[in-house]
Amino acid sequence: MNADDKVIQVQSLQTRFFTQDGAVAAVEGLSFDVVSGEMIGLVGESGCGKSTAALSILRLLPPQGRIVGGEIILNGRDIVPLSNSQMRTVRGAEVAMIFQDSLAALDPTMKVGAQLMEPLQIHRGMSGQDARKVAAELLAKVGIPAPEERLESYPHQFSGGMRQRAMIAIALSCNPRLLIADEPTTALDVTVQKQILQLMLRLRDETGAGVVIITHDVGVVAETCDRVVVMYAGREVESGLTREVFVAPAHPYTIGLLGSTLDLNRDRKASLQAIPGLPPTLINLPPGCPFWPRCARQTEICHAQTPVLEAVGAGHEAACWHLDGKV
Amino acid sequence: MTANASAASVSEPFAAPKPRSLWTDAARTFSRNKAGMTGLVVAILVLLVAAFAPLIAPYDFADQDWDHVREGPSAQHLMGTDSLGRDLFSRVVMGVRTAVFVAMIVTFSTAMIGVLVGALGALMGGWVDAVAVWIMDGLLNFPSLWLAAFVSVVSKPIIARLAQNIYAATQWSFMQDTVVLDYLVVFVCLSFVWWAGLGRLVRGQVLSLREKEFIEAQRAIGAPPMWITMRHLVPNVLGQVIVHMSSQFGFAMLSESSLSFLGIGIRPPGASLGAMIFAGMANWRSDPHLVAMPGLTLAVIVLAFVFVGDALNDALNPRIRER
Repeated sequence: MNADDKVIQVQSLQTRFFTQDGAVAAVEGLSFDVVSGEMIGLVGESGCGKSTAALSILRLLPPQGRIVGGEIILNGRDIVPLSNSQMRTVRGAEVAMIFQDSLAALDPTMKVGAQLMEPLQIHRGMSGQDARKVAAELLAKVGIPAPEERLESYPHQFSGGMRQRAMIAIALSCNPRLLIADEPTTALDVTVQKQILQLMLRLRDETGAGVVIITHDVGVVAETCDRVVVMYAGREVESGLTREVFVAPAHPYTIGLLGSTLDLNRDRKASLQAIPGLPPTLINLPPGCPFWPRCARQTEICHAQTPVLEAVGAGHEAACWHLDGKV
Repeated sequence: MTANASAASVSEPFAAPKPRSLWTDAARTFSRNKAGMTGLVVAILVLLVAAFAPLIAPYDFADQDWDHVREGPSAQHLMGTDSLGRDLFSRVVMGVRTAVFVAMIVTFSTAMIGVLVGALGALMGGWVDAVAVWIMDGLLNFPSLWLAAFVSVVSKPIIARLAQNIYAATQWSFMQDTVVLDYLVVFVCLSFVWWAGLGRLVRGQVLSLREKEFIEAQRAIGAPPMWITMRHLVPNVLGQVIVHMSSQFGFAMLSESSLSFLGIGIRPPGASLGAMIFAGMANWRSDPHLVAMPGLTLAVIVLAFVFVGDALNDALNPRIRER
């Protein structure tokens, strides 16, 4: 793993939403990187800033959102200062996005084939005929049989799983070095979820692209991701190799997150542990650890100072004042 | 499961259904709507009559026959004759032609203006949108006939001067024809009054579409704004625009007749259903057919276009189609 392989380096990214009630720190000092052929998971509850992080990387924040600090180095260059028209040559070509709801993310009035051809026409300047050929190959690549005929179908004629495959094909069409998948399996049946995840793993191996999966589903991360970044209230609270983080979670939030998933091997009564309380609103967050109101380990220092990330193992770090677990 | 197996193991059944577009779907739904199909048949008939009016009309619409004045319907004169002995059927046919011609131009121009202003406002936002909304709301808050009458009076001298200048420059003799002038005035005032409704509809549609995920997905693949507008926004708004245009078509014909009835639309020697009704009003007790024939014709046509519009709405509006 050398530094040249890094497809993206996010360094202390800060994204704010400027609302009528004040500035919302949706992402606060997030750092992670992805190397070629790696899949990492961005995990957290809804509202923790993981989707905002994805939109920041694509520079597709809504008008009131802005990146106020940090760097996003994509394929060796910082994309934060790029203009909108420069970003258009990046989106789809260097970084592509897979959306959660494939029915909503495909134009209902346009054939799937035409939608597959669009990125090729935009970025490669391909003629209709050439793009069509590539589009058929792409559909075959994502495991859709009879791709030639399927190009002529409309999105509503596809099943949910097929639509998600088509979405992946669109994202892959220009061979981006980085794929961002925002809850790619959440809208799918469990059986189809597995197929889609396996497809993504296979395509990652074939193309060597880096993949960021954004999800609240710990199971998805455990099955697919090499590394995981756990986010809470816009901050990274823990990160490391998936195996390490899941076997020996260091941050109380991660422990809570893992404890709130079903495990059939455990005693049924004791198996489901909810984290008490609600995530904080991100407007004018008080100083201190954002997790303390819900934390069993809280002490004076948690209320006063924000903990910084500390190493707890090889490449495994967490931000907590009481990493030893003692209060 | 190995990587290769996962590709082959897609379990979805692939007796690929015959690709059916939204438009074929809509056509099927439409064809099941009886009122809509009836309306469509009448509408097509009306358009054919308008196109071939001189061939269909048995007499010249201006020929006077003083031996047969104010006669009721007969074999020679299907709808009877008016007070100057002119064949009423021929006049109705020519009046329909006038109304259809006006409605076509007005519907087309209102569609152009409405789509342009509505989409521009929604896409640009800010003060452009504010001004667009302000103008559209202003126009929609006036009684449309009153406004049309006002605009026709105001615009007439301007258009007359313009026509004179064009004639002076080009020697096109039709620019001196008063009927042509009447037409131009009617086009201008009806278009002026009518584009706002469609403009507001399009603006609302574009505003809601813009927030849809597939537009976001388009931005995520690096599509330029013009690309998104032409390939994705316009096709998705088109259904609503077509629905609006089809029902407005009938009302545009009605409005032309209303203006002509008031004497500010198409005037003799031009043929208009509204002017005919007005002329027949004087003798409606003794000769009701002079009012009834053009009046009923107009009513049937407007109703037909409303039916077509309704049926199209059912067929093209996905929320209703689910039923």
